[in-house]
Amino acid sequence: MTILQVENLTKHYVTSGGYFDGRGETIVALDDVSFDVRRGESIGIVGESGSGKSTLSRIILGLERPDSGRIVFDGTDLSTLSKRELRAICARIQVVFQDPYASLNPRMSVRDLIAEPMEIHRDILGMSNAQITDRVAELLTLVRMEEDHMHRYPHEFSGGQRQRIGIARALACKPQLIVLDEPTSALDVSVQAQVLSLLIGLQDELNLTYLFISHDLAVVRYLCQSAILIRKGKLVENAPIESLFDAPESDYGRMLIGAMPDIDPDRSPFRLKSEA
Amino acid sequence: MSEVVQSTGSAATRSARRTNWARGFYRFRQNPLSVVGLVIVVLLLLLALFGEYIAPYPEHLNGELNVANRFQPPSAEFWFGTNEVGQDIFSLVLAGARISLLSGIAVIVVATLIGTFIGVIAGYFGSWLDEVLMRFTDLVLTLPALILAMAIAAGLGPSIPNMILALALAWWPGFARMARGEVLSTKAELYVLAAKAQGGGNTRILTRHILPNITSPIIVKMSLDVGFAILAVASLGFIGIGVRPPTPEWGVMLSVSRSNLPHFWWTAIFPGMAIFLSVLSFNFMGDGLRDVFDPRARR
Amino acid sequence: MSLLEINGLRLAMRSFDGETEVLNGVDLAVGENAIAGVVGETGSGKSLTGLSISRLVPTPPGRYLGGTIRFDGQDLMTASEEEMRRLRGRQIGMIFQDPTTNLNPAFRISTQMVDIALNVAKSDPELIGIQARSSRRARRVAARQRCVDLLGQVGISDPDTRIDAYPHTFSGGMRQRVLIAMALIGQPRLLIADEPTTALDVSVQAQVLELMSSFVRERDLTMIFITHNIGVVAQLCTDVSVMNAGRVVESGDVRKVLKNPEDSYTKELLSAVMTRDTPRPARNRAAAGAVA
Repeated sequence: MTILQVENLTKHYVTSGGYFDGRGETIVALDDVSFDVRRGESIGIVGESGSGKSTLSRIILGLERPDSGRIVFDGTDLSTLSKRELRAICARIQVVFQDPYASLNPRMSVRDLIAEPMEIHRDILGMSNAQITDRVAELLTLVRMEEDHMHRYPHEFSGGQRQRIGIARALACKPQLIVLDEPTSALDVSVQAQVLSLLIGLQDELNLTYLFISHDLAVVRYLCQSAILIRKGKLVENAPIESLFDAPESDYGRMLIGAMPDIDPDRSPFRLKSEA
Repeated sequence: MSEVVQSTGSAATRSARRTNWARGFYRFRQNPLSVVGLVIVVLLLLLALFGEYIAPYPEHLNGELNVANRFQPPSAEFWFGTNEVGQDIFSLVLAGARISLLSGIAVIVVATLIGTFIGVIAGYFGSWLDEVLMRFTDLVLTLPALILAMAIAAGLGPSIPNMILALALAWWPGFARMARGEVLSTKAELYVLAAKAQGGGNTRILTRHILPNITSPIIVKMSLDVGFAILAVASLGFIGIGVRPPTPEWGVMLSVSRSNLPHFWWTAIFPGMAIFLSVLSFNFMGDGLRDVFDPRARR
Repeated sequence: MSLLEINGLRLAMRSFDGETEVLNGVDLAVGENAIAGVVGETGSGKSLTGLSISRLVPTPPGRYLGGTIRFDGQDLMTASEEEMRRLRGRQIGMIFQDPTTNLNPAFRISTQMVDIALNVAKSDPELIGIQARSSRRARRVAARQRCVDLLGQVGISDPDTRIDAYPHTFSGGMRQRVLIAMALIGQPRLLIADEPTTALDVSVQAQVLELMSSFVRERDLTMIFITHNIGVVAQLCTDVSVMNAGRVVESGDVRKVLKNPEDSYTKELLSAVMTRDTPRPARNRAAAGAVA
């Protein structure tokens, strides 16, 4: 049932250092992080900026190598694979990035954008251009857009539509695992709700596994069955959503939950102070 | 099914492209100077192509002299006056557009090809390749371009193709540095990361993602530089390397007219104006192109 | 008596697609010592409303079609550019979203702050506690002292030495504090904050909000807080105006608007906000296992 195992992942960076001494500081981006992800589930990875959550996603996507530790995807240890085999795995692990404005090449039409992963993995998929175009049309329908949107360019779409294009691209090669890197944090709340419900519908329909990276606990709670809290590279809590919210075990968890914005003015901490 | 999608598709893509062009031209039009620049550039290019056919005294272009009419001031008969051998300066300036403009453009095209190639390789692959290529670029850049071009032209012998090559060899470092910088910033774009995350290889990332996104600044620089290249061609002509008299070229004409100043001012003013106008118009056009490609740079 | 009153403000923006009206009749009244939240989604016109108050919308492409903005009784729409410049430094302060782009990375914080303080002191030397005819050196020392004090007040520890650091050595939250301190140099009566905490982590955001709320309480300050984040409005603001499509659709006391919204758009917006109480969606896992 486990689709992804992250075992003792550690990653250090050395900064470029000062102007004169040249010695860089070592920054611990990830420190001995381990967790499992079950097939068909959504797991939230929550942390603030600099927590190491982005490094984690880059390592899982194969964009960076860990210093130590390993990642086992569907029974295969990714570190033992050749470059070619790793490329093939790429088709099964896809990503949707936070910023729908920066993650789509402005010079490519929607058709070319969504077709790209299929063209890259043509050797595995063996699709002709016409088949790819058909699949693009199918994917656009799947993310509730129009087929003839494929001839337009990204700048003609709103943030929410661009994010749908990003999701269609991620789905193109029928992946099993999708890393969602803050996919809704740049969107307006009403659009965010639509994108989330699309993601949920797709997950149920296609039996996808989501790795949902976010700083927004409310969204994680909405989408995920469990969550991992990361702080300064260390895993501080790994719990099912209900127990995380009912009884957080770590101080960090309590702090994050306490800082969640609440739309009830009567629960504002400083208002109480100022009106007292 | 796919047939239908394909055919309606290309029409839809075409119309999407058309809107993009219209949008671009709208931004270009926002600055009247850009439009002036574009109009003059188009006129100059037409002159470069057809100048010798509309010249009132085509025989003067082949070196025919008319000593009886030497140093005629501008008149209805000779719009820009005549030079020391009685040739019509208007005809010579018209014909000079071809050599000045086309060699200016050729210099920049060759320099862009060399520079972009080196800059893209250096910026994309980085590490030692970047070091080696960029130190070499810096080395070429430290030599004064005109002196270097003079040395190369002198070595190759005076001819128009040699002059173009010489200037291009002195000109490419600017393009290399710029292309490298653009590649470095484009390389960090999220869509490049997205392509890598999908398993895209270097060739695909370079040709599909990086090159299309760095062409705009390069085109802008090209159009700005063409003006200066025309000036450089004229300068080489002026100091006697490159184009030789009696070939009508603006720099050469200026050079010859030096000894006629200040009394026969028209022999120098009109070729000078032509150089001035073309440098200025390419610059205005370049500014307009920048507005099109990067609307944030200016209001 | 409102400190700021906007009536029927209409602004059009020109672009390739022709002129579109982006503000079509904004009405907004901000009372003295209020923290007025202006909340809306992308394209609602909330930022343009904020920029209009300090007349920072470039015209063209912008064009005002009508309406008035009154600040302390003075009509800002007819004020001269010179008057506006004076107002911007002294009466109306602004804080923007991204602290990195609003601090020049090439200069020390002290250089940037003292410059503003000296500029402010030209019209009102009292502000940095000097006489009109003080020497340049005395002015400089006084201006610096004022900046150090302000940095201390916005919660930067060891402000006496930190003031000489470069912006990149500050974290995002600290930079936002520096910008707040900068906006406070001229002791403005009105502070316009456009998404000042959007780029910050939630824990840092809470600290910055607390700081802002205490400033309004302790000083004679009025604040307009522009944001898309209703949670922040609920925490900080006394009043709120909800904007949609270039218009204020509902405004009033924050409790009244957020707890008993009347307008349908406000209701919709509030229901879309995800909180810890949002019911989780029912999952249809019928397909689960079928594909595996």
